[in-house]
Amino acid sequence: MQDRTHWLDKPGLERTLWIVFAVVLVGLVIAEFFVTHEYDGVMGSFGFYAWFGLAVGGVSIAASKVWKSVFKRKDTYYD
Amino acid sequence: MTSVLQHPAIILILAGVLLPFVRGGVRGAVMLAAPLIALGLVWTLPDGISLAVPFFGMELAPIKTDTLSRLFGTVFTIMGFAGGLYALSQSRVQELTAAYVYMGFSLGVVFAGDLVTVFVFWELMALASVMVIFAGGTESARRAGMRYLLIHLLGGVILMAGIAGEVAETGVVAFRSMLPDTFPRALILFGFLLNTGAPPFSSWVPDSYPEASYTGMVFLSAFTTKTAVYVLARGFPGAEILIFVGLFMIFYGIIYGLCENNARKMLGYSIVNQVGFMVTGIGIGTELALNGAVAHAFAHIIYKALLIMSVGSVFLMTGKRKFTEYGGLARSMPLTTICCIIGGLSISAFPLTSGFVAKAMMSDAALHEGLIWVWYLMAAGTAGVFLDVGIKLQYFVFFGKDSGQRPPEPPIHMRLAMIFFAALCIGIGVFPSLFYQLLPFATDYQPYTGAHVIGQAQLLLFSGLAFFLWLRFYGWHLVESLTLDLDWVYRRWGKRISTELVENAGLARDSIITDLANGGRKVVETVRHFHGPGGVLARNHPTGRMVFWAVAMLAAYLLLDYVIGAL
Repeated sequence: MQDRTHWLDKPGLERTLWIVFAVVLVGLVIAEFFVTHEYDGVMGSFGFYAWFGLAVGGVSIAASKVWKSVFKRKDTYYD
Repeated sequence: MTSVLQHPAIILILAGVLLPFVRGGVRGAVMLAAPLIALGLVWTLPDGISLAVPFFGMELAPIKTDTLSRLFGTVFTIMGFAGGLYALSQSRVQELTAAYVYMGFSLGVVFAGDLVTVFVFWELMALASVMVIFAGGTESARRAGMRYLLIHLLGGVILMAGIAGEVAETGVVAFRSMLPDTFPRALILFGFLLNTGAPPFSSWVPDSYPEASYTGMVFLSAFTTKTAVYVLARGFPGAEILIFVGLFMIFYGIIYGLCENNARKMLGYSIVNQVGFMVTGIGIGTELALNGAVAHAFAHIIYKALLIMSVGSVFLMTGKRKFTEYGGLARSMPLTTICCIIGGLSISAFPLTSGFVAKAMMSDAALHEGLIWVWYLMAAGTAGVFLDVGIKLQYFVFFGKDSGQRPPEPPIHMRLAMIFFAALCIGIGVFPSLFYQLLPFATDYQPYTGAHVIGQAQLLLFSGLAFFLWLRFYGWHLVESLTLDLDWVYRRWGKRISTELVENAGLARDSIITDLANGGRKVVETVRHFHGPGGVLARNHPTGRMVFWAVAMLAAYLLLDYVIGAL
């Protein structure tokens, strides 16, 4: 009988995706050894975009959570 | 000299007027053919002023063409075609009419060679676009439309004051490059900025656009804000204040987008975010920055419409619009999911998409001008928008916790429109040199260098890593709520003030009417007292008494005259 489970519902998918994601991220950092940096200073340093992206992502999420906690109101606030 | 009928706007306005009178296949043919004919007209208009009209001693130029107007004319008409294809099954013909007329008016702004023509089409555009919002057909759409109208009419009044002052001061009506160095020019800049979603009026975009129908928002997303970008690029390149305004818009859109639970509203915030990049680029003002800003506008119209089409398809097929109501829809809507992901990658400037080849020019322009802090903030904004639209939107709508819903894909014409725009996002990203030939300044810009591709991919994917780490360790608690914005001032205080005014005005009106009635009654009574039957002035008096008083007064007069003479 054919397995009709959607691929998104396959067991172990999340773990597989984390592994693939990690490989891609590490691969991108390693790839930096093979390119010539175009900029000087911090923005031209090794791994800059990686840590900067991670930091910006974390700070943005944290800032939005703080903002939301202060300015959150019910959907019907203006009704 | 070109005839007015060759104006690309006219064909779209005529098509809009015609739509209520035709049905079925003919209506569809009109909807698809009109933007294509307009596109042809955009490319047949000669450079320079091709139509001049005398107006109260001024020479107006309703049609003036150059590479900038042609670029926007091209993308507006392509958008019209794809939007029309997407909206083929829209039964609310009043929305279609308003949308086509709205497109026409936006082209009117794009080809205007003078400030008066800009203003006329600018205001007509506001009126037509609010009809698209009203066509949403709900009470909340009506209320959001009224707020939208108030904001845009305010902007229109400010713009008109600025234009009148500029013409009075300089005697020049031509729409030319300026700096906000006089009060009228500052007013013009403010009027233009209001339509971009700049502070303090950024909230009109996420407030009003999501209230339109699933097709209406597609049209709305393309024209008003991008027409504003066009007039800024033409009118105020290099105005430094735009850098600060644009950067504010970038982060406003990201933070509010991350807070938002309504998927369509979140896309509204991301419009502000993306227009912020363009405004920043215009503020930098170099050829590379301006190329980047208008290239970004071109790319943005396409990928933003693609995103709104995708989410609109989900909205149409599920009847729901909140992240808390979605989840796992990729199982039954794979094509919509893929199109939305392509739109999400493109808006995030992922390599091989249109956003990548456009946005990079603005960042590089900031560096070339020594604006390193602007470069950092734009890079942060790029990472932030990937969190918002590249990850959060996709995750909570199509993946994430399965909502159990299995809606089918939307009708074939909607899928074709999405495929068309997804293909353009990829096509522009893969073959940027063709795209660059449309730009106002000749360029040999090379977006695909190893460092740029690797750096951009790192920036975005590590930002995505932050999202998934946060999700794994802290969870992402979506709640059905809204986040207060500066529109609170007029939606809350304004409402209270107007309510007070209405109530107090009613009391004042009653008081005034009572006072006037009492005063009138007293006047009538006084007149009646003296002149009415029995009144002292209406009585008959004996002749002797009258003679006595006359003699007494004459004697008094003589005495007074004598005294004055003696003195």
